[in-house]
Amino acid sequence: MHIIFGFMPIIIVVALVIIAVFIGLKVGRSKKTRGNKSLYLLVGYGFLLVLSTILYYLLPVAAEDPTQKIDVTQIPNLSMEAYEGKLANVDEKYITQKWTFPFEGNQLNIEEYWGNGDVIDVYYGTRKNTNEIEVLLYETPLIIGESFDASEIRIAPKVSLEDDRLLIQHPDAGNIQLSQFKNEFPFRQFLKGSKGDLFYSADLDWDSDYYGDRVIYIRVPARVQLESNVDEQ
Amino acid sequence: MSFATPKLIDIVKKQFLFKWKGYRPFFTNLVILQAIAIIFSLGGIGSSSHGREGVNVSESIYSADFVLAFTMLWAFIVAILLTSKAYREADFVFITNRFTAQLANVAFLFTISVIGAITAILSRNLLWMITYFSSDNITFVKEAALHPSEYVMGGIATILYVFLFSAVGYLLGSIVQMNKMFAFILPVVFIALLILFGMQEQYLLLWLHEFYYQEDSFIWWFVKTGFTATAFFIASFYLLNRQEVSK
Repeated sequence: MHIIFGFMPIIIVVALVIIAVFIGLKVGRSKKTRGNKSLYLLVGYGFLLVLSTILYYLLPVAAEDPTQKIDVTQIPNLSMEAYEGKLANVDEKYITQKWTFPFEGNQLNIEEYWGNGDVIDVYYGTRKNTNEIEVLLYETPLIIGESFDASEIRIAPKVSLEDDRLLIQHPDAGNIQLSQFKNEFPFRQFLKGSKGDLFYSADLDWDSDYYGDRVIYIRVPARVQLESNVDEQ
Repeated sequence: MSFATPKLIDIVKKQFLFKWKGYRPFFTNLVILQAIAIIFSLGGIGSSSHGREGVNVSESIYSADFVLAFTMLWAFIVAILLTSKAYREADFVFITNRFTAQLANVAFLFTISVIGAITAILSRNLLWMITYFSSDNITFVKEAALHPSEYVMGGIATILYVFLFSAVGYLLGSIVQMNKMFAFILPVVFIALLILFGMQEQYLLLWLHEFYYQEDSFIWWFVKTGFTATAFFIASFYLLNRQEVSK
C-alpha cells in the first residue's frame, strides 16, 4: 500500500491531465476559441517577464563569481596558530578589531560573559616595556558558496576595562538569510559536477562553505598577573 | 472546380496560421499555469540552515523548475487536445489531407514549445523580482553567470524538453483516437507500470532520467531527444492516417 502512496504525486498529475483535457475539449467545442484577448494576455505577460529580466540585471545584488573564488587553503588556521603560540606571525589583515587600554596595575582579572552565540577562544600573551593592555580580534573570512564573503554578519565581542577587570562580552550569533537563485534543470544538465543534478539539493552547497575562525588575543605587560573566570589558555 | 495544385508548404503554412489565430486561448492557459507555478515556487525548491562559529546561515534556493514542469505539462495537454475530434475537424475548413494537417500541428506544437520555453526561462526573473521586493533582511545571491554556450545549450534543451512532452502527448492522443477506451486504459497502465517497476526496484522514471537527463553530452542528448520526438510524431502520423476521413 505504501508504494501506491509513494506514487500519489504522479497519480495526482495524471488525474489533473485528464481533467485538463476534458476542460480543453469543452472549450474547443464552444467555438469561442478565437480572439485577441489571449494574445494580449501573452504579450502583457511577456512584457512583465522582460521588465523583470532587466531589473534582475540592474539591481545591485551579490553574485557568485568563479573568477573571484577564494582559495581557503591559503587562509591560516587561527586556533592552531594560537595553540602553538604563533598568533604574532599571522598576517595583520586578519586582525579585524583592536582595543588598547592603559594599565598601571600588576594584576588583571579577566571576566568573560557569554552571549547567544559560540564562545570565541581567548589566548594570552605578554608585551615588554609597555603600560598598555592590547586586545586583538583575529578573524578569518566566512565564505558562502566559494566566493561570497559574508564575514560582516558576524557580531564583534564587546571589550572594556573597569579598574583591574577586563570584561569580555561574547557576542550573540550573527544571522543571515540567503536567497539563491539557481539555473533550471535543462541548464544544469550540461554543467559538470553536482550542479547537474535534476533534483537540486540545498545541502550540496554547504560543502563549499567556509566558516573561518575567530580568536581573541590579549597581550598584557609582562609584569601583570592574570586571573580569569574561565580556564586559562 | 480549381485545377491549380496548391503547394504542400502553402497548405501547411495556411493551416499553421489558422491554428495560430484560432488556438490562442492555449496561451491563456499557459500564462495561468505559469502564474500558478510561480506561486508554488515562491516557497523555494530547497532550503537549509545551520550554524557554526557564531553564525546562523539559512538559505532558500529558488528556481523556475516548477514553471518548466508545468509548461511541459501544458504542451503535453495541448498536443493531446490537437488530436481530438473537435480540433481535427477544424482542419477541414481548408483544402487539406491528414498529412498536411499533422505537419501544421507539429509546426504549431514546436512554435508553442518555443514560446512556452522562453517564458518559462524568463519567469525565473519574475520570481526573483517578487521575492526581492517582498522580502526584508534577506541577502540575495545570484548564481555565477553561465558561459554563452551554456546559455545556448540550456535554451535549446528547454525548448526540446517541452517539444518532447508535446510529442508524447500527441502520440497518446493519437492512440486514444483509435479507441476511446485508451483514454482510461493508458493512465491506468502507466500508473500500474510505475508501481510494478517500483516493486521490482527497477524504476521506470529512474531509467528515463538516466537515459535523457544524465546524458551530459549535448550532441548525444540532442540526438536522443530529437529521435524520440520524431519517432513519436511519425507513429502519431501513422495512427491518425488510419482514421476515416472526417469521421
